[in-house]
Amino acid sequence: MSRRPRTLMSLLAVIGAAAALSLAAQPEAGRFAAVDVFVMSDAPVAAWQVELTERSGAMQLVGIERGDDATFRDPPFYDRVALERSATDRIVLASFSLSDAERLPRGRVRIARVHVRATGATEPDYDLRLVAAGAADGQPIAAELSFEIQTER
Amino acid sequence: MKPTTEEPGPLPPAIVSRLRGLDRSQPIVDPRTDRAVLESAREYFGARPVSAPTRRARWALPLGAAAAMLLAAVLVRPLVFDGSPPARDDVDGSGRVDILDVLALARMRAAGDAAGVTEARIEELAYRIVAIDAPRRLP
Repeated sequence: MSRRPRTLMSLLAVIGAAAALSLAAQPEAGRFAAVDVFVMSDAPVAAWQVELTERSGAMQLVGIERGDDATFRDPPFYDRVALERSATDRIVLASFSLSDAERLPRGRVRIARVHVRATGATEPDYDLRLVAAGAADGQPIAAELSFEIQTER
Repeated sequence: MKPTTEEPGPLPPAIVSRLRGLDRSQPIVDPRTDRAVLESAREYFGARPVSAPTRRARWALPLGAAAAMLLAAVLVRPLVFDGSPPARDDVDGSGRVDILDVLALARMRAAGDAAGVTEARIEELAYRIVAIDAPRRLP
């Protein structure tokens, strides 16, 4: 009678230790997130080019998507080799549309979604820079950028 | 009167001796005078101030280095410091190559007024402006 509980306790201890070791041996899955990039402009935007940087070096690019406007290319132009390397602290995105000015987006528009995997212990520190933005006639326009982080897991 | 062909007779030894003495080179400056001139010259030039040659040497090195750097900058500038984009890619003439040049190419192609502007060229330029590293071919 006293032997059975002791065996049970030993078995539970072994299972617990195995589970703990298994969890410790698993590679860190990382945190997946989507960075939505927005451009704000009073004029219709026909072309844009932005640069997204992660300052702490913990960003792995997973994928790129177009924004909300269907007249733009899907996905935007980006460095595919950098994405294949799956480890970069910087990505440049660009796209254009030949639509008429009436059909082009204006105001606050989501132009791209960047899927990333954060690997470090610290929170990613993103920086977004506008390289160029242009109107339908090809002239540069003033625009502002912003981004929102959507946690995926 | 016929000219005589007789050999002259030997000269007297005294005359021969004096003539030989005239042939010998006479030392203009004897060694003592030479040494005296040398010492005096050393004394004189040793006492002269050395500032003039030093000043020349002091400026010669920096000036030479500056000239060399200027020459190098002028020669190397077209290879290294010229960050201007190739004129072919700077379609809108803004002085830099970005998505607006891609848009300009696409608009030219759409308008049909640009012979030689192909879809491949537009894509190649678009991928080049987003390249993280050195320019590479279209992936």
